[in-house]
Parts: sequence; C-alpha cells; structure tokens
Amino acid sequence: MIDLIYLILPEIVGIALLYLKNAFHSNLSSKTVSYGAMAVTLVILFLGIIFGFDGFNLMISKAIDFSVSFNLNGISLPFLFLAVLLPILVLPSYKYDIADRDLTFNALLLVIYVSLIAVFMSSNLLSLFMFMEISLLSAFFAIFLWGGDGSFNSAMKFLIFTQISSMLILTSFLMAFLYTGSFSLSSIASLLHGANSMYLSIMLLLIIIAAIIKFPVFPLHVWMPGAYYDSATSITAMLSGLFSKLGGYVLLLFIVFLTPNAVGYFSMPVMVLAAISAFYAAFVALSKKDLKLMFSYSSMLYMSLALMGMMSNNPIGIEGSIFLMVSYGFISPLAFVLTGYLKSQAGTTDMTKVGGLMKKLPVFALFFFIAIFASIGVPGFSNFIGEFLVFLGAFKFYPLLIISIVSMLIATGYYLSSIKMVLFEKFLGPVRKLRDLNGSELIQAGVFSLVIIILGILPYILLNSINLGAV
Amino acid sequence: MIYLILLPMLVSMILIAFIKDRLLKSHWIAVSMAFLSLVISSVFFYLYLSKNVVENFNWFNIGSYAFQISFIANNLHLLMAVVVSLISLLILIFSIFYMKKEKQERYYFEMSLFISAMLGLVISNSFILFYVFWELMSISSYLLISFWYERETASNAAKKALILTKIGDISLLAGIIILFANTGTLSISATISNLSTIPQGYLVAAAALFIIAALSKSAQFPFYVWLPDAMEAPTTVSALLHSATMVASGVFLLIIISPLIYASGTLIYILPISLITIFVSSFLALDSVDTKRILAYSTIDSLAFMFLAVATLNPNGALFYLIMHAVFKSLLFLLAGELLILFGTRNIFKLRGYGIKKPIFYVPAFIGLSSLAGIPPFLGFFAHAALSYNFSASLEAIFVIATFLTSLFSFRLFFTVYHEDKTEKIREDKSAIIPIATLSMLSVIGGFSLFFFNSIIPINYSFDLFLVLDSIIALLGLFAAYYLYSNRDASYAKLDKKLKSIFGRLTYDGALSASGIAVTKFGGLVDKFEGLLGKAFDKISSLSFDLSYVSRELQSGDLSNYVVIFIVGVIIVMALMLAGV
Amino acid sequence: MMMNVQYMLIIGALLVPLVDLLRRLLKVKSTKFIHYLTVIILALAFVFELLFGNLQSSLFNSTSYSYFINGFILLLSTLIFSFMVLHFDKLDTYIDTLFIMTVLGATLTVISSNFLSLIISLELMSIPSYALVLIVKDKRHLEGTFKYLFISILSIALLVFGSSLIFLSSGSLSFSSVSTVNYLLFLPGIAIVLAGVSYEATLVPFHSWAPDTYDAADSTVTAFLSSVPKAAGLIAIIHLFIYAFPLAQKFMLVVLMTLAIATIIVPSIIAISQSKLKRMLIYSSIAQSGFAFVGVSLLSTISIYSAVFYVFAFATADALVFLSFSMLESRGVSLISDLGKAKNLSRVSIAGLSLGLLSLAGFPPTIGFFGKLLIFMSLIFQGYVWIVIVLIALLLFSTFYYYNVFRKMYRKGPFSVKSNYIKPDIKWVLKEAIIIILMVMIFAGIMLVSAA
Repeated sequence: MIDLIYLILPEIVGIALLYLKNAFHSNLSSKTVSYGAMAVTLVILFLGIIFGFDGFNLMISKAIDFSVSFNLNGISLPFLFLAVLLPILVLPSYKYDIADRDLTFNALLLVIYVSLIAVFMSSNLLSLFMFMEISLLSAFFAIFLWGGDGSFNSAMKFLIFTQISSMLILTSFLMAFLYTGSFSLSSIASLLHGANSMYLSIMLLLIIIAAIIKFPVFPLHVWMPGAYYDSATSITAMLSGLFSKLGGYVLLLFIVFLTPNAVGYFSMPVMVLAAISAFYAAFVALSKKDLKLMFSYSSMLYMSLALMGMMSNNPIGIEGSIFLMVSYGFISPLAFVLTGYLKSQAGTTDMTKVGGLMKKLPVFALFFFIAIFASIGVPGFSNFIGEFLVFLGAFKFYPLLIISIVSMLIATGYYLSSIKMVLFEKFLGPVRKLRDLNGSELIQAGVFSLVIIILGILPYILLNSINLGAV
Repeated sequence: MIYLILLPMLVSMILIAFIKDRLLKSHWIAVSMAFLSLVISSVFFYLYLSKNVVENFNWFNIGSYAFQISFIANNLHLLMAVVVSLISLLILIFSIFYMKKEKQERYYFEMSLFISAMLGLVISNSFILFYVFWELMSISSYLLISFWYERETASNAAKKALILTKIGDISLLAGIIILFANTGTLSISATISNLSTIPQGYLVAAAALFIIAALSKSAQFPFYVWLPDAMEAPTTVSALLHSATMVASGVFLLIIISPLIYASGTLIYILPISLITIFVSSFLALDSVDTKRILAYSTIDSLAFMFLAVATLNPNGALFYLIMHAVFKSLLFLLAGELLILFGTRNIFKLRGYGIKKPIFYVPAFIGLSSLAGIPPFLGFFAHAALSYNFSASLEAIFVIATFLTSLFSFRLFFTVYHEDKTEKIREDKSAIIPIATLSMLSVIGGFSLFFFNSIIPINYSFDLFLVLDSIIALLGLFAAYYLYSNRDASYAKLDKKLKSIFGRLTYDGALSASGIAVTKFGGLVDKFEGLLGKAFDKISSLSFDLSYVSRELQSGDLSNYVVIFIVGVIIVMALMLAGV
Repeated sequence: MMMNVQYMLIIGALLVPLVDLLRRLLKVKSTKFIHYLTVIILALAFVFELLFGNLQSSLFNSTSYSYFINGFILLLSTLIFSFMVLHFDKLDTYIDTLFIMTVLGATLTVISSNFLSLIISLELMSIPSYALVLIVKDKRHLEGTFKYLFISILSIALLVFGSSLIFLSSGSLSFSSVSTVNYLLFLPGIAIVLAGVSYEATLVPFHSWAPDTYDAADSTVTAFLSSVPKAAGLIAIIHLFIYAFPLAQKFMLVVLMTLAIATIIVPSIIAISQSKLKRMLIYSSIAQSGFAFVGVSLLSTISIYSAVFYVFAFATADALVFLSFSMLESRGVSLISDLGKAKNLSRVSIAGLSLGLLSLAGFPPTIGFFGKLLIFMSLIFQGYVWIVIVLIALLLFSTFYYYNVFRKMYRKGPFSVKSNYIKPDIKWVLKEAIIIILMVMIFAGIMLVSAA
C-alpha cells in the first residue's frame, strides 16, 4: 500500500529545502531539515511495515535495462530497518564533530541516507550499483571533510579500495546481464539457473572478493584503520554501522537468490579465511590502546564472523549472519558514539590516558557497559543470538570451524581491559569539569540500548521478516 | 508457569534500576522479592512433588529449526530452587547490615540480576536458556567482584574471573552447538533421552566441553585461580556466589547431564583433576592468612569432593553435598564478613590480636567449620556419607587424607582467630544475627535430613567403617590444629614460612599472567604485521608518484621530440598491424 | 538544393566578414554586434541541425548518430563561443569567421564518407583553430600555435599520403567502395591514415602537441579544442574503420586497443604529479579520449554506440571543466593548491569544476558514469574481461588525481573573508549561467541514454 518511493521522497525534499533555504535566506536550521526528513522516513517505514509496501518502477532506458525500481526482496527488511533507523540515532553526535559547513554536511548526510536506503530497496541491479556508488562518493567526502589529520589519505585509500570492489561488483552484474539480458533481480534469479557452473562461480567469486574488501575482512582490510580512525567519530559510526553491510548485502543477494548453487565451491576456503580474519582482528584489537581503533578492529571481527555465517550454506548460518550484521549495526555505532562523547569530554580516545570514569560519569559508564557486554555476546542483547546462530551454522557446515568461537574469548579479553582502563581504577582525567550524558545524548544511548535489548529478547521480530525464498 | 519462580527477582531488578532508593529503599525491594521467590519455589515444590513437568515456549524459528525455551519442574530442580531462594534471602538480609555504608542500588541490582539468573538456571530445561543464565551469572559475578572498582586489585580480579569463566562459557556454548546440530532439539530432557542418536565422537566432544565448562565455573584445576582473587568482592557476594550458588552451578550442570557424561566415557578424566584440585587447594588454604582466601580454597576443595561424587557415578550424592555445602559455607562467609565489618580486617593474625573469643562468634564458627571438616553430628558428616557411597577402596584412602587436611586448615583458621577474649560486649545488628543463627541451626540439624532425603531424590548412603574412620581423622585434624596453632606463636611462624616456600608456587599466578602476556605479545606481533601491510600499500602508492615524476620527461616541450615520437608511433602502428595479419 | 546545416554555416561564415566590412566602412567602433551575430548563427545552426539535418551528397553521408553528434557539437560551440565573447574584453572580428569555419569543418568531418572530403574537412577544422590558439598574441601562445601547426601539417601530409595509397590499392576514394585489391599498399595505407587522423583526437603517441598547445591557449579555447575537434576526430576514425575498412577489423583490434590503452595510461601517470590545475585537466582530457577509443577499437555496434555516447559525455565534461577553470583563472587560481582560496570567488564555477571532475571520474548519476558503464558493457559482451581489469586499474589512477583536486578545494578551516569577493558584473553572471547550462547537460544526458 505504501509505495516504496515514499521512503526516498522526504530526503529529496529535504535536500532541495536545504539549498533553497539558502537562496531565500531563511532562518531554518539545516539540522532541523535533515532531522525532519529522516523522521518522516522512519514513520513511513513503520507505516509500510504495518500496511505493506508497494513496488516502484521507473524505466529509464530499455536498451540497457536501466530502471529505477524498488521492491522488497526476502532479505531487504532487516537492512532497510537498519538503514532508516541508524542515521537518526547517530544524529545527536554530530554536534561534536561538525564544526563548520553545516549546510553541506546536512545535505551530504541526506544524500548518504537516501542512497543507502535506495540500495537496500533496489530490485534493479544497475540502479542498485548506481546508488551504492553515490553513497560511497558521499562517504569519501564525509570522511575527508570532517576528519582529523591525514583524513585525505585515509579517505583516498577508502575510495580506491571500495572503487575496486565496486568495479568487481559491476563486472559481476554485467556478467549477469550478459547471460540473462536483464538487470532485474527477479528475472536474473530465475534465469540464471541454466548457466554453466563455471560462469556462476566466477560471478560469485567477484562478489566475494568485493565483499571481503568492503566488510572488511583480512587480507584486504588495509584501508579500514585509517578510514575509521581519521574520520569524525559519528562518521565512523555510520561507516561501521551501515557501509560495512553493503558488501554483505550484495553477497547475500548472490548467495540466497542469484547463484545459490555456486556457493558450495567457495564455502570452505572463505569460511576458513573468515575464521582467520576473525582471529587476526581480535589479536590486533587486543594490542590497541586507543578506543576508536579497538572498536574498529572489533567491528572487523564481527564482520568476519558474519561472512563465515553467510557462506555456511545453510539457513541458520545465513539468517544468523543477517541478524549479526543488523545487531552489530546498532552496537558498533553505540560504541563509537560513546567514544565520540568521551573524546569531547576528555579530549582523547587513548585508553591509557583516561581512567576511573565510572565514578565521575556513571551514566556514560552504564552505556559503556551495555555496549561492551552487548558486543561480547551476553544474552539479553542482540549479538548473542547472531553469534550463536553463526557458530551453529558454521559447525553444521564443517565441525572444526567451531574453533572460531575462541575469538570471543580474545574479544572478552580486550573489552575487559578497556573497561578496566577507562572506567575502573583511579581517575586520571582532565582537570576540567566533566559532564555526564544528558538530554539528547541520553535519549540516543537509551534508544540504542533499547533496540539492542529488544532484538536480543525478541529476535523473531527480525528473523520473521527474512524470507530466504522470495525475491 | 514455572518461570514464575524467577519473576520476583526480575521485578526486583527492574524496580531497583528505575527507582534507585528514591521511593523505596532498594534493600527492602530485594529482600521482599527474595522472600516472594522462596514462597513461590516452595509452593511449586509442594505442588510438583514427584512429578516431572516440562513447559516449552517457542523463541524463534529459522526454516524448519525451532529454538525453544523450556522450563522443567521436578524434585531435583525445584529443590535447588528452594535452596537457592532460601540462601539468597538469608544473605540479602545479612547484606542490610553488611552494605550499610555503601551505595546500595548497584549492589542490590546486581544481586537481583544474579539471583534471577541462578534461579532461571536451575529450572531451565533448554540448553540455550541454560547458557543464557550461565553467562548472565558470569557477568553479574564480574560486576559484583568489581564492585569496588577503584581498587586495582578488584578490577584485575574481576577481569581474571570473567576471562577464566569465559573459557568455560565458550566450551559450554560449543558443546551445546554440537549437541543441537546432532539432535535438532535444544531441550535437555529430550537430548538425554535420545543419547543413542548422537555419534560417539560428538558425544565425547560435547561431554568433554561440558566438563571443561564445569571445571571453569567451579574453579577446579586448572581454572581455580580466579576464585581466591574473587574475594575482592563484598563478602556477601562471596557468600552467595562464590560458595553456595554460582560455583556450584558447574557441578549442577554435570548432575543434570550426567547420563551424557556417563555414556561418553569421559568420566575417568575427572578423577585425577579433582584429586589434584583437592590437594592443591588444601595446601594453599594452609598457606593463606586471609579469612576469605582460606574459605575460598575450602570451597574449591569442597567442590572437588562433589566432582569426585559425580566421577564415581553418584550424582545425587554430589547434589546432597552441594546443598549441605551451600548452608555451611555461606554461614562461614557471613561470619568472615561480620568480622570484617566489626574489626576491619581479614588477616587471621590481626583478628587474633583483637581477642574475640566470644561465644557469639566462635560457636557458629565451630559449627560451620566442623561441618566443613566432616565432624559428626554436623552437616558435613552426613554429607560425607552421601558423597562417598561409591568410593573405591583406594579412593577412600585418599579421601581420608583429604579430610585430614580439610580439618587441619579449617581449625587452623579457628584456633588462630579465636584465641582469647579481650574485648567488651559487642552489640549485634539484628540483620546480621538472624541469618547466621538460621544457618547455624540448619547446620546442626540439617544433616539428619539425609534420612528422608531419599523420598525426594534417590540417594544412597552407608554408615560404614570408612565413615567412622573419616570422622576420627577429622577429629584428629582438629586436635592437630589445636596443637599447632592455638598457643604456639613461635612454631607457627616457622611452620608458616616453610609452607609458604613450598606452596607459594601452586597459585601459578605467574604462569597465568605470563600466558596473558604471551597472548598480548602475540597480539602485538599481529599488530606489527598490520602496520606493515599498511605501510606496504602506502609504498605502492608513493611509487606511482615517483613513476609520474619520471614520466613527465616524455613531455619535454621540445618539438623535435614530438615529431620523433610521432613517427615512432606510426612505425609501431604499422608493425602491430603486420603482426596482426 | 535542400536546406541543411552546412549550407547555413557557409552562409554564416560568409555573412560575418561582410557585416564586419560594413562595420568598418561605417566606422562603427563596437564590435559587439558582430559577436552576437556569430552566436546567433551558431544557435541557428543548432536548430537547423535538429530540423533539417546534414548535407547529403556523394562525399558526405549521415549515419544514425550524426545528428546527435553534430547537434551536440553545435550546442557546445554556441555555448563556448558565447563564453568567449563574454570572457575577452577585446575580440578580433576575424575570430568569429574562423570559429564558424572550424565548426563547419567539424560537422563536415563527422559526415564525411570519402577520403577527399575527410581531408578537406579536417583541414577546414584545424586550420582556423590555429588562429584560435593565438587569440592572445604573445610568445607563449605563439609557441603553442606553432607546435599545433607543425604536428598538424605532419599529420595531414601523412593523411594525404595514406589516402593515396588506399586509392592506389582500391581504386576509389569513397569509403563505401573500398574493396581490397592490393594488400601491399592497403595495409600501410591504413596505418598511415590512422596516424594522420589521430592527432586531433589526441591519441598516444600522436598527442604530444596537445599538452603544450592546450596549456598555452586560453582556457576558453582549450575548452573548445578539447571537446569539439577531439570529438570530430574520434568520429572520423570510427567512420574510417566502420565504413572504409570493415575488412581490416580482424587485425586492427590489437593496434587500436593498444593505442587506446596507451592513451589512457600515459597521461594518467603524468597527471598524478601535476601541480598546475590546467595541465592536470589537459592530461585527464587526453586520457578520456583514450577511453572513448576503447569503445571504438572493438568495432561492434554496441561498442560504437557506447563510444559515441562516451564522446558526448567527456566532451561536455571537458567543456564544463575548462570553462569553470577559466573563470577561476581570471581571479588568479592556477595551481591546484590555489583552489583552497577559491571558495568565495564563484560558487558556480567551483560547483561546475567539481561536477565536471565527478563526471570525468565516472560517478553516478552523471553521464560520465553511464559512459564508462556502456564501455564496460561492450567490453564484457565481447568477452574481453581482462581489458576490463586493466581499465579498472587505470581508473584508480585517475580517481586519485581527480579527487586530489577536491582535497585542495574543500580544505577545512575558515575561508578568506570577503576581501576577496569581487562584485560580479553582468558578464560574470552570464558566464556562470553558461556553466550552469553545461551542468544541467551533465545530468540530462541520462535521458539520452535511452535514446541509445
């Protein structure tokens, strides 16, 4: 009943408003416009979940089957939920990072928002690719313009690596078009069955490599530490919460709908790689003394586990990895948002320079605990379900992979060390007055935690919206 | 409806979280809710006596797999629920006295969290639910140990505890996954009845993992090092978690999946581990000068006894000992806590210096320690009876030695602390007295419940020669302790030093921190590699810059160069063409 | 005699000098109206193209995309010339005539179907453009003009020679009636013809004049040179190989593809280390024609279409970029690092420059993206996947130097205050308007994709 295009319209209106208001010298704050657009979109999303969504189709070029078409497929909803909700939750944190160029920032934010939503809704591969590219370009600017020192180089690395992955994805899409004559997801899904398995395998392999770059997963992850660390913390939250899922989403499309038969060839090597990557990330995180870097590598750890679940060739692993991605898509931004808040209060994200914050900032400490426990996989929080399912799926495919569960132990190690350094023991902090979380930050952290807890206790909310059969 | 048992404590948690001492003092919430859960558990116990009821709920589905939550009500589980609620209630009452000077909401919140988790654990029939509560107990233990987080020792202890128990958690999870993958069900009861469908290899793996989980949670060798350090927590926490309930949950796990353990043939490995644990902990107890540390080692020791019972195919005996142990061990901890509050120290020598040989202190202590040592007619004696039913002769012999050691270190504590009376009358707080008195009484009379315990849970016991020998040896230990520790300050010091040199190494704290450091170092290596990767990439990109600078030469600005390039181009084109033809 | 664009342009080319003569006789000082007249002529030509189409004769033949390309060339020329009028304070009137002639030559090149007409059209296109380079008469411009002239003469000489070889071997100068008789002459003929035509399209290694000439010329002229003649040159090559040498297609692939890739690689590498913005843009422009040429070298229907579309895409983007740059240059921006100060100068030109660069870099939803997409598609359809990989690698090089510009442009921190702000006069505003029109084209091109 609710046409999917309505999820995009508010943002476009918002962008237009932002530029028009400048022309008319209105006093409307840029932040209000972007908040408003996003909030409207959220409402529309909920209406759509209740009443049902309609597809949208705008043919632009028949010759190359390029049409902007939106249609929900079996795995869209969880990601869509994440894409619509998360940026709104991260909004309050921007005030720390964005010192200038308000208008540009909010416009850029809306562009990122709309393109990400469009990616998860697209049922035409070409328009999916186009929106993905737009979002990546905007991400480049987001990283570079408001980041710290060295942000250009990091943004450049990010751009180059993700460009490579985009080209790989494009090549695979073009191969699909070549064989089936269409870019439409549903047509390709039904037509590709007849293709020879070598062809399908190459297509899948390209996407796998692209996903490895985007998640990121060892060994193509070298862009990540720079990009995550040098961006503004709230941007890092978006990077880790949403952008890292793009590769996973496209890979899932191929695994579930397009080339399901080819998955078996790659399952073993990729899952082993994912397990190795998980350990690698965990060990590196262990030796990091900076909160932001620790969380970045932690994010890489969980994405590696998600990859492992995805390739396990059984529905438990696949749904588990979707759940894990969405769940961590809320937990990780919470962690980064808290880090950003800490930076604004203590002036640093270096763990060795702060301490004993539990006493001074009890509310912050509470949410810090929540973020960390949620991340470790304490039941009651969403990550537990995701991890459990992923490990179960991996075991079902190949029993020995259960060893990857030990990475959780290492994660516990560094997380506890971070709690120790940041919250416990003596207060090392700056002399100036510290302000605990309040107002919008409190609501923000609270809503994050609420979502994480609700998903943890009632996972079927998300799991029921996944339908591995429907395109 | 069974889940109602843990509901009151959940309510307590939520209430405390939001009300936080404003409208209602959090300790009243906690105590009243604990009382409520005791009532409910008892009601259920009475209702479901000799029945076996299982309730299933659907949590979520994936494809054709159903992940269910299920609760079970039968004698075993409900009995545990009653015991846990009772002990929790008593300890919470004591907490009113003990935690008077602290910021209480956090404490009661975390305690409520713990108690709900423990109660949930004992009525769980679903592996995943069991794991949920198991993990929540680890977390609340972590939070409670780090209650005084400003102390570096406390925060280190909490971290150590969580990491070591996490090893157990991971093993448990892995074991659960193995079982679920093979049986398709998460229900414990269903799995137990379908053991034959599981391939032997996986059965052994799962059993081994469960055993590791139990060992870690119950602080057995090689995981025991976390428990003594966990004494950084408030004493009431130690009383509840680290003596009566949480650490017992490892044994509880083994008890309820005992058919699986027995079917897998991994049983035989428990014996040597338990024996090593017994001796190591006994020696370390003899070596310690801190009341709580001694009690911690004694807990490890007692838990090892329980493992011995399981290993000798006597899970119900282990259960009986578990319940009895909960009673007298919590009593002992509460006493230690009382002394700590009143005199501000845990050091047995300093306490000796205070001269506190008052009946109000030493009578409960004597009762408790005698139970621990196994001296009739207190609890411990009967517990030993149930425990040792299946012991082989050689095991009995070893056990006797163990009893001697236990008695020795127990009464070392007693005679060192309660040496003489120097103080004036002490006013006792009601909330301190009630629990202690209750527990003491239970320790005296509780043992006799052995006789009609059989109606609840089938149990075997025999009062045979071995038992008599055992009690005599226990008494022997008492006298030896009296001789060694009561009056002889000088010889004590010498003995102490000698012991310390021998047993100091047994804590292998050094090894543990060394392994921790090794892991960290490895992490550092990986990190270095990571840095190298990054640098390599930067090098590549700077290479392209250099290439660019060099290639600018091509565009020299010299026209004759251009013409040359042009002509060369023509030639190349022709050459390529000819090659293509 | 039908009415068509070419005739209209010829009339216009003759009309302007006459009017100018009148002006001199009447001693009218202002030359403005001459220029306006020229603009009108060009605009009318554009309309004519849409209405009446091209010249049709034995020497000239339109193909399906001729209308598209010619219309596009005329539109661009109109816009660029208007910009030039606004830009130069004093523009000699002979420039007008020469400009019209160049455009005429370009449109003729596009529809040539005979070697003879090809040579003549090419010359008609290039000779007047030498003068365009020399609008400002100083030493630097002279150097640029001279290099252009020299290489151009060399090329055309080769072209004539090659054509004569073809004539000798096949007996006809018309594209359609080239049937191979004598391979010995035919093959070298093709090679030499190719060499001769390639200079305008700045294919490596025939491009060496371009960096110097484009750099020396005024940026508005560069805008023109890098779009219109380049496009015409590429189209001419397409015609050559489709119509004249269909038989050659089998073995030409290697040659053409090598040229294409070389054209992409060499300037891309050099561009990375450029610190002058204009030179970087020039090298990027050279690389762009290489990309289009990839499509040409495959010689299939799809790839030709994609090449044509790509030509449209990069020509528009180049025009946009150079015109925007011209506006900035007039306010003192010449190094890439100067761009940091440019924010206040002209929002529109910064936007234009950014958008043009984005289109050149190939980001959606600009036409640059679709152009690259089509090229990739045609490559994959022919099965040349490894070339795609090579192109992707090269694309990454270009990503770097394009985005490097952004780095300097959007530097953080407070911007230089209003003191740099110069009140724009009407000319400035009109120039900005032209840039905006081009920006719109960058997007509107999407619609044209469906036409393909």
